[in-house]
Amino acid sequence: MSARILIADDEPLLRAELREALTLLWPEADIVAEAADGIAALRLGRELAPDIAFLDIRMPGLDGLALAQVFGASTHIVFVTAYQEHAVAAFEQGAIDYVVKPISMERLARTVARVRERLGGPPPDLEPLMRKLRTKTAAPSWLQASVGASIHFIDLADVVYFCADAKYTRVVTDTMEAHIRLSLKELGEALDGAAFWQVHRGYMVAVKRIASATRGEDGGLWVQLRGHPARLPVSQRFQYLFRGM
Amino acid sequence: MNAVLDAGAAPPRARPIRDQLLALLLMAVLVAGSASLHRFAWLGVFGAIMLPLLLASILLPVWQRFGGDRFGWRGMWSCLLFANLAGATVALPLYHAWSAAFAPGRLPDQQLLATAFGIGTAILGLPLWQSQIRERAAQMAALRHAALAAELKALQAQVEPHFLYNTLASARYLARHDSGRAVQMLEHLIAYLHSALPDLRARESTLGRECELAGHYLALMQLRFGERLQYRVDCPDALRETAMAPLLLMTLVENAVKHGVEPQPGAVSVSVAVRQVAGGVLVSVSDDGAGIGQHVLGSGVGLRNLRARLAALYGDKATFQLTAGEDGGAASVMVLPV
Repeated sequence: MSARILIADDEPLLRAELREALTLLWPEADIVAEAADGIAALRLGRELAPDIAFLDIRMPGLDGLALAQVFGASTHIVFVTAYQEHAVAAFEQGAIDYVVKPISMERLARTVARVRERLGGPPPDLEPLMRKLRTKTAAPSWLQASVGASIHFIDLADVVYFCADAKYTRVVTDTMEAHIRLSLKELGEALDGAAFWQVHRGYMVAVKRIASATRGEDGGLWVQLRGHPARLPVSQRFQYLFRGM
Repeated sequence: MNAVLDAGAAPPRARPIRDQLLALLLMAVLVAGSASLHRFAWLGVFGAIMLPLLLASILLPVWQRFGGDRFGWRGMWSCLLFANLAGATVALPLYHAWSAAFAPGRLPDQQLLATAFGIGTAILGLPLWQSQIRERAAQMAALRHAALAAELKALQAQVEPHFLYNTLASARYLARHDSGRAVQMLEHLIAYLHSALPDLRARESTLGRECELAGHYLALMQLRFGERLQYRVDCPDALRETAMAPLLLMTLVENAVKHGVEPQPGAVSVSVAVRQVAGGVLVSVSDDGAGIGQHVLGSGVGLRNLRARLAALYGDKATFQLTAGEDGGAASVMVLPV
């Protein structure tokens, strides 16, 4: 039985070029379907259960990595990636099959040879790769906050502190205050822990703006800010941050 | 604006304290000297001069600590003048009492007031003025630096290998199968590179030229994405010759393609429009694509660079806003002074 292949790429010309190259290099293979976006690829992948799927990493709807997680256990995945995508290093380390766009025939021939060898066995486990890629997402450097209908872009370097406000979070800079649609907890997970400290259930403060922490008359610990009049409470749970300060 | 006395010279802490000690020592010598020489009239004038100075040097740091950031340099100057005026006013009756007790033959009131106020203002005003100039220079330098960095990043983005490679790969495929469209694609690419590459050397471009550049870019993208991408570029002829900094519009168009078209399955249209408004020209790029709803945090540098460049080029005379479009996409609107 000939190998059944699915190709998913959102650029029709590049998709056609890959199909043409595969037909040349592997005439016995059967390209059963092409998808122009992640949603179509998901449907076709489930419907047709192809032996091999060439998945573009960046695609509308669902990206190649998400698709690989859905049917990577039964289908051999070959990632198609743009020049110097950060995933390439992870692919190399994980011995994952991939081709770099624009496709070079020589490179594709090597990949095809390797996939043909592997076809008899089960596809390689992609979970370690996924874990690696999840942690590799770049640290955020700005955030979007809404004031009415308009969206403001706030440089994270300008943020003085965040304050929990119902299910949203209020972001305070020297010049403005705005709301962001993330809870303080979600925000804390996404931000760099060295730059922002959660000092209280309701407050997360930019470390470089902390001037001092002092005991109030009530015995509670309070954070004074550099160049900002606000005083933020430190709850018992987070007082360890200031030991030795 | 940051009203900080002696901005940027904060770290060496030891020096000011030593200077202050020296000043105190000098004053003590002066006071002891004139007292031992029984120059009490002289000492009275000296005290009257010192009082506004003292008041101002106590008040200024306090003001700076609690209100400086809010009221800026104007606030600092008002505080200085107020402190000196108040000091001189308080000094006058004290001087009267002093001369009545120790030294007859006092200075006329107006002269004393003028001397006390004038010397105080000059002695403290000069460093204030200097640090204001220094801060302004530092601000200008920071802006220039930001503009340069932003332009470099814009240049990098402009010749992004990803864009070039994928376009050339598409052209390669077309060359084999549809040479007419391949030629079309290459022509757009040549025109795009022709206007994109020398742009940063020539600091000024025109609206017409920038719109043309956006048109070539969108035409290339349309050839690559197929009928999925529709676009229109409207630039009234009357505004074509209007001067405009290069690559501002391209940043918005690239963003629309990257965040509006690429992540959205199905057809997306992008439209670039230019029109005259009260504050200058309004340049807008809107799409009905993926929208901006999902992402709160981002690591992209495009819009940050754009803001930095706008600030460096036009100060606060230019505005930029990104809004969620009515039909789910995004609209970015830039108003530039003419």
